[in-house]
Amino acid sequence: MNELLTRDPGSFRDPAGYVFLDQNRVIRAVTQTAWQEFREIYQSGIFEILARKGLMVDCRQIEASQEELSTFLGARGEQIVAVFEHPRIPFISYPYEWTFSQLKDAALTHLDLQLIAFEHGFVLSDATAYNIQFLSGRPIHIDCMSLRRYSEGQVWEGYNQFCRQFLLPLLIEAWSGCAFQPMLRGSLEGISFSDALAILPRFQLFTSPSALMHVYLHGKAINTKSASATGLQSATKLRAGSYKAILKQLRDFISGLKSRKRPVSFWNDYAFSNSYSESMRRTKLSFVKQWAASCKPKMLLDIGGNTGDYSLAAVDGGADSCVILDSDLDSVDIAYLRFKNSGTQIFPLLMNFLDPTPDMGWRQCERKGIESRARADGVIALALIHHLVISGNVPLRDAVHWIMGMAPKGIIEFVPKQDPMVTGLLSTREDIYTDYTEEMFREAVTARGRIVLEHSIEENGRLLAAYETL
Amino acid sequence: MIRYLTFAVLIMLGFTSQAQAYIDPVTGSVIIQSLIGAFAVVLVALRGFRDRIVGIFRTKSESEDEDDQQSTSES
Repeated sequence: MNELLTRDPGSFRDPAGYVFLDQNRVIRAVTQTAWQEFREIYQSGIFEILARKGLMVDCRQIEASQEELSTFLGARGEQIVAVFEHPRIPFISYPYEWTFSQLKDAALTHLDLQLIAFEHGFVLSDATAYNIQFLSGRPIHIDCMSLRRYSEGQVWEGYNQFCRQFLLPLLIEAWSGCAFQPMLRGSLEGISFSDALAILPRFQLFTSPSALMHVYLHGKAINTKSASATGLQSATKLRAGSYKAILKQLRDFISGLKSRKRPVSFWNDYAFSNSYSESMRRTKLSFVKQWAASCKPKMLLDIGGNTGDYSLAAVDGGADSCVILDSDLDSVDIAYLRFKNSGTQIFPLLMNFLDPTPDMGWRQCERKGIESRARADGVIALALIHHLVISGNVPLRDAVHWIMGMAPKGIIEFVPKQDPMVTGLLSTREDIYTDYTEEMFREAVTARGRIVLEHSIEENGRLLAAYETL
Repeated sequence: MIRYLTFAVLIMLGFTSQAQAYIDPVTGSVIIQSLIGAFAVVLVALRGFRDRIVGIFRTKSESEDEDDQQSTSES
């Protein structure tokens, strides 16, 4: 059963169980220590309830013989006593690649799940944002082993983690106008209370009862003297009503947050302010659609995809699913809100390929860099190459080969120096880009593959080249 | 009401000692939960109360609208 299954290097923290992966399957292996409790939870039917509401991934036990089970081994050498299967998430993403709306929806999903689980006598043992993934554009919890039986008087163990990984980043963007993603990328544990208290505006912090409780009072308790902590040990029981009230109150608070303070970027208006006319735009859309219809990619990457017009054309043409990777927060947020309830398999993420997400966490295996996650069979890179070459000083050949390395088939748009967008980039710097010509572009493509379809846009001299690698 | 509660908590916090030593962050988070929980119960109750009042007025205005529409159509 598990010849090709290997333990996910990021699955090691919880000795209750581990995740094993191969190309298509996600298997959760449960150890002896957790089996009795997990079996009771599984048999209670709570997983079906949560899955039906779209809050948690399906969890189905699979039959396995003793011999098959013995081939699994936990991170601490534990024997595995039962295995379960989950659907595979097509594209794993992390909170520092999400926009405000995505993180907010993820936070609300976590709280909704907790509230429903609580009604049935269960709680989540942690509140890590990394347990939320996006499936068909909607956030969903992926760790069924986080679910535990609630016992009267117990506190919310994930409260601190929830605040650091959901609430504080959202408040920092909503109230201070700072992008939270670089901070989350800088610390996998989440944003510290001391940093948040230094960043958040005092007036709102002290006049909002929710912020006063969850941020100021909470942060103060974390940094208080140990003597006080000993004195307050007797107060560590939490009544069921209070537990539920914290969840409900946080839900009310977060659902009302809006990202209004961050300055609006140039790029979210790009679809209207670029250098091509409506007829050129239609030509480009039809080129993408025609290409997608001919090669029908299962997973398409749209690098620099802005608000997703060309992703939509590709999906309309026949691409199964598409991930937009763009460095502009506003564009990604617009794309997320545009597609999340549309039923199309288009999912946008924040990504700057001149500063891409690296491998991080324990032994740099826990959270993977973007290139090892981006398993695609098609790529479109439209109006991107000039940013890599001119803004990023990447050699043209290197930029072309990097794009072609992302997928065996794709479209690259070459934007010549006379195009107003490139002229604008060159107006503030010396033109040292001698390799940036259409001839060199064609040479770079043909060194690794061949151009199978091309279209020159006469009005601005751009070239759309569909390639296949050798 | 909420503002008064906020103000009361602020005064309460004004008498607590400043942060001087580090303890396990989760410990602090656990210890404070009963206080935050009690505060949250009050806020959720107030919110429920407010929603009920708003609901009553909304129902009244909706039924008045319906009455208006009916009388307009009858006339």
